[in-house]
Amino acid sequence: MSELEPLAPELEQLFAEERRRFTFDATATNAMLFAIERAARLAPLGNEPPPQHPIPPTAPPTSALQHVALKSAAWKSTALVGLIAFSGGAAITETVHRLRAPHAEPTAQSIPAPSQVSQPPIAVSAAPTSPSATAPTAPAVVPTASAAPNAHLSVTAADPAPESTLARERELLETGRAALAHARPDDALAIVTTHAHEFPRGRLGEEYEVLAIQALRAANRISEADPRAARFHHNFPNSIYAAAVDAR
Amino acid sequence: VTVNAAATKPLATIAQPPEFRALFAAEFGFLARALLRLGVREADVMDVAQEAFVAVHRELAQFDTHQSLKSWLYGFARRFAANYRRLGWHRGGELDTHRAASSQRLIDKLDARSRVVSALAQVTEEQRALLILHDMEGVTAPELAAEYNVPLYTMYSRVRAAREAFRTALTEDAT
Repeated sequence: MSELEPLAPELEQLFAEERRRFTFDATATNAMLFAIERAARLAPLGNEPPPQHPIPPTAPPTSALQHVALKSAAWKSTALVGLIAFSGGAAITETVHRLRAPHAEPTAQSIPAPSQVSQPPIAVSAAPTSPSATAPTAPAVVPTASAAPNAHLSVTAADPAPESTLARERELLETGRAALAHARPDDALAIVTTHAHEFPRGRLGEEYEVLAIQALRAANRISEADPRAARFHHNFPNSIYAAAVDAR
Repeated sequence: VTVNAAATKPLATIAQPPEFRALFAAEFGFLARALLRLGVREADVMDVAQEAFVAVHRELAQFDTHQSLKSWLYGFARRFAANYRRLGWHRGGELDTHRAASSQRLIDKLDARSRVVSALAQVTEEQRALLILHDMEGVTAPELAAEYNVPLYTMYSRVRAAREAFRTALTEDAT
């Protein structure tokens, strides 16, 4: 038995040509990274079943959205929160029904129309609209319904109050992030302050702290940003935002 | 007093799963390319990749550091590309090859891509994985032999057979 021969020249050439096709827009991938990390924020650590398996509907009827989030696939929770934050009630209900359908018809109808979801809820980079030859779609934070067709979302059973609180927190956060992305760090900082007043024990404290530190850096207030970043690392030693907080 | 060896092992020597951001930065291209090669349309690849990486993030703690990272990630690509096809995301649309191409060079490139995707679709699942991982992404045969738990020379034969099947599919497509 001999060693493996090198690839035949014509295959080598074909693969080389094929490889040249791939370039990915950095803005889009960065935005995607943030979206992924946000989705992961709402998921439990490491004990999520793979998407193919149904998730047993064990949530008690009194559970809040957070509980739903813990029981559901991460991206779905984000999808819901994002939709709650960005659209009217009717659209939410409709989408929830779609997501809840355990065996949604595998057609375009079961998928939120791109126009509903294509507005990036987080303005990570100022201009995610820059066209790219190979990545024509802006990364939608609400993915199309596919990965977990069997997952059960018991959203209607949830207590609406904490849900809307979280939605409000999130909405405010997106506004702050958008302000920062549009080079208005002072507005972003004002939003952080508003949040602290409105939600002294809010659930997105960590995210707001990241926003505050990034805004301070953007405003060139390094002497304030650095100690705050150090405090952040102390308070959230395992944060997935650790790198974002240190990015200059 | 007997001390458990594992308990005295300094933490730093225990292999940690890779940090997600580093993994994302290094392997985004790999996973996206794999999705495209498995038939995901360019227009959809960013959406599918995002979903796949959410799952990668979620399951990162379960990654066995003795495993080949690319092989592990390929599993996600396979899973999400299969979901994509099953759920008809592409709405019956063709691959992007029919899109009006503006230059001969672009046509050639599109052609290479569609030929590869089409031929890959005609070989077995394992052959597809071996072609993508070994011949297109440079994962070594010893790594794959360990991954598939077969002797190295068996892996060589399998890669060889995969190439042969691929070439046959290419030829059949051309005629």
